[in-house]
Amino acid sequence: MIASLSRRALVGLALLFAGATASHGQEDGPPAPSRATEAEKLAVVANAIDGFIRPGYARFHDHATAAASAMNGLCSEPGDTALQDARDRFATLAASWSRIEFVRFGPVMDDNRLEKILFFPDRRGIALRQIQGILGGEDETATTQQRLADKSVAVQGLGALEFVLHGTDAETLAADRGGFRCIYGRAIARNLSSIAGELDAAWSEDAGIATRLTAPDAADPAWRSAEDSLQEIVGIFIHGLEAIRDLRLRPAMGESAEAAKPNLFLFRRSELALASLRANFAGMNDLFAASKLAGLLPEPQAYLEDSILFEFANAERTLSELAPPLTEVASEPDKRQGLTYLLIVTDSLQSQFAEQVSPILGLSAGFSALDGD
Amino acid sequence: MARAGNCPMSFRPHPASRGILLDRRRILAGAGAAFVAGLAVRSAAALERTDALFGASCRRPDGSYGCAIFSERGEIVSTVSLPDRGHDVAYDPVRRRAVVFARRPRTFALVFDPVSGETLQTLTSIEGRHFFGHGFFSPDGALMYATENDYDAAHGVIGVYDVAAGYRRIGEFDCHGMDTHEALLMPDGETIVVANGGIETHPDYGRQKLNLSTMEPSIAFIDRRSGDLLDRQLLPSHLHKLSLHHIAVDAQARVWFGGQYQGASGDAPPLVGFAEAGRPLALTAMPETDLAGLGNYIGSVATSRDGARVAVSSPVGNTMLILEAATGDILSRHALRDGCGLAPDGLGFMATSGAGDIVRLEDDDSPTRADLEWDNHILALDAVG
Repeated sequence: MIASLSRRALVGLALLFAGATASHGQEDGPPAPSRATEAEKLAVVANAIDGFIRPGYARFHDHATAAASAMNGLCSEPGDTALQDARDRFATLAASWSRIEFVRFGPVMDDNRLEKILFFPDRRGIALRQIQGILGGEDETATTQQRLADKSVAVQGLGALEFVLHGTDAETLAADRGGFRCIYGRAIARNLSSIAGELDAAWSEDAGIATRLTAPDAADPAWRSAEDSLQEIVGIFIHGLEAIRDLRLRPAMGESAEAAKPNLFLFRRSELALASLRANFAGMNDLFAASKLAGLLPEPQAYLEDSILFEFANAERTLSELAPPLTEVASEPDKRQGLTYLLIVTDSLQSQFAEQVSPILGLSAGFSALDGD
Repeated sequence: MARAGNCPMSFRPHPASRGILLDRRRILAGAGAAFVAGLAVRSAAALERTDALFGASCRRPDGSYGCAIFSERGEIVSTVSLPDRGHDVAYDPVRRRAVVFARRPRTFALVFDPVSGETLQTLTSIEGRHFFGHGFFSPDGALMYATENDYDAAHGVIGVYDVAAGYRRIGEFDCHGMDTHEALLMPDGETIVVANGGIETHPDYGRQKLNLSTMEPSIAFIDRRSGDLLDRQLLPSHLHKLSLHHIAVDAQARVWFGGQYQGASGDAPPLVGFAEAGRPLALTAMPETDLAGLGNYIGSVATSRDGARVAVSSPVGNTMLILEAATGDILSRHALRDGCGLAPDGLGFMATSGAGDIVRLEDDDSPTRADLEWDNHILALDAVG
């Protein structure tokens, strides 16, 4: 196991190194830029919308509605089966969000929807304090979707629903008919369903965000050209992979098994951290295929498609070989190697999108624009 | 060549603000002939020809990082190597030393001789702090002030350093906000003005933004001796996602700021305005097309030597605008790909880009391009006399 992981790690490192070398002034000069036309670029944007973003939000909406229904069932007819059903629905909902969560433009950025759906990381424990305050004080203002939506973003999304279903005293849900904890959880699920519905609707209409992206306009502050629109799509990979590395893996993994802080994994109470990561990578893999982004690469760089698919497959295989709980995986040196390898694959993918695909497509942020400061 | 010392206008920025004065002849006299002889021929010639020097962080062709001093003609006078990416530069006019600060969330600052490029000292931020990338010196050169992140507390501070004691850190001031980025000394020489960007970051999470829903950017005025908060102004609540990172002071001691919007990309909030202690922040209206051209991101702000004009840059929008400070009216528009660095230069502005361009806005008949990628800021070290 160790030997095979190490070998794979070396392959990953080699790819990473190859990526870095290829992107920094090799002897033959930088790769020729893509000659894709504006129409070809906008077709990729349209593919991404129709083949990934719209169905992604529609699925999230469906699963949020199902979770709200399950919570309603749990509150009116509590029991072990109903609790398990609510937890299963939550797992499906969380995974459906993880597939689409790195779309960080358009309606999800309005009205703090992103943070309302998932407030993470919570470095200073704000959410836990506030959620426990609501539960301890049986705060009536948290029992309806409308009033909950006006409260702190930390108490109205997936993290809060996870605590209700898996946090301290969650087992009381199975016995307590119409109890406060359940009613609060139902309000959270309904709130998620409401936000998901808004996202689904905003992306479904032909006017609005979809048109702004597929028919960019010089007078539009956000999307003035085909490059601006395409950059949003490529940015899903670049920023998503960065977020996986910086928010989902590194803080919890720490520098070593001894220094791991497994409590910092997302969804650690429900042990859905691995499932969420799998959905993150699967979502990006789907987007890569559905958008036909690789079709914009010039022939000499067409190999990048296989290289990227290879790394997505590495990520999926590695994640499939890890068994929850991830908290244990991070703290035990043997199991931890899989996560270390995943980190390498994540960096390799990020590097391929940011340092190869992006400049070839003429999308690279310049040195000054990069990374904002 | 227009020289700041000959400028007929009465306003001159305080030496510790962006327009720091460096007398080339005094440097040469002080350094001695042996030093000048030791300079590379091209560097010595560039130094001899120039009346103004500028400093900026950069990335070199081999991917390594440095800080370069260059002339108004774009000739490189000196470079110093950095262990990682640097950001802004500060200048001590008394000891004639420059300090380049690491870009956040890194922890180094390098003290160097701007003419020779000799590294004199490497500073490291204290445990629990990292540099935010900006700083300045007191008018007498005795103290250096640096913006820093108290990251566990998610609080911006200004570290205070005793220069004569080998840059010993002697204390810090609370900046009353998160993400304290650029800090300047007001023309009174006593008041520090800071731009609190309002974004929570922590080195354990790379450069990820951790609090977009609760951002609270501000401009704060702080007594440089006591650290007392003199005033703090917030943006109106609907603009709480307009991160304020960069500032410059005009002839009326108004602090112009440029914002970086973290909200929905389809929004088009005002990005430029000014602060005055005791008054609400003023926002400058712009024609829609100009605003759209800034891409919701201002990377640098500078005022002209006479304080009558303000320049703002957007490397995202590949655009620079020059505004009349008195009215906020746009006087001119300049396209510069990945253009960000700005500094006063004579009566106008010097600008740099991530592509290596060195351009005098408005009147440059011989723009140059260095084999370097310039970071976001330029410090002007103009000569006088």
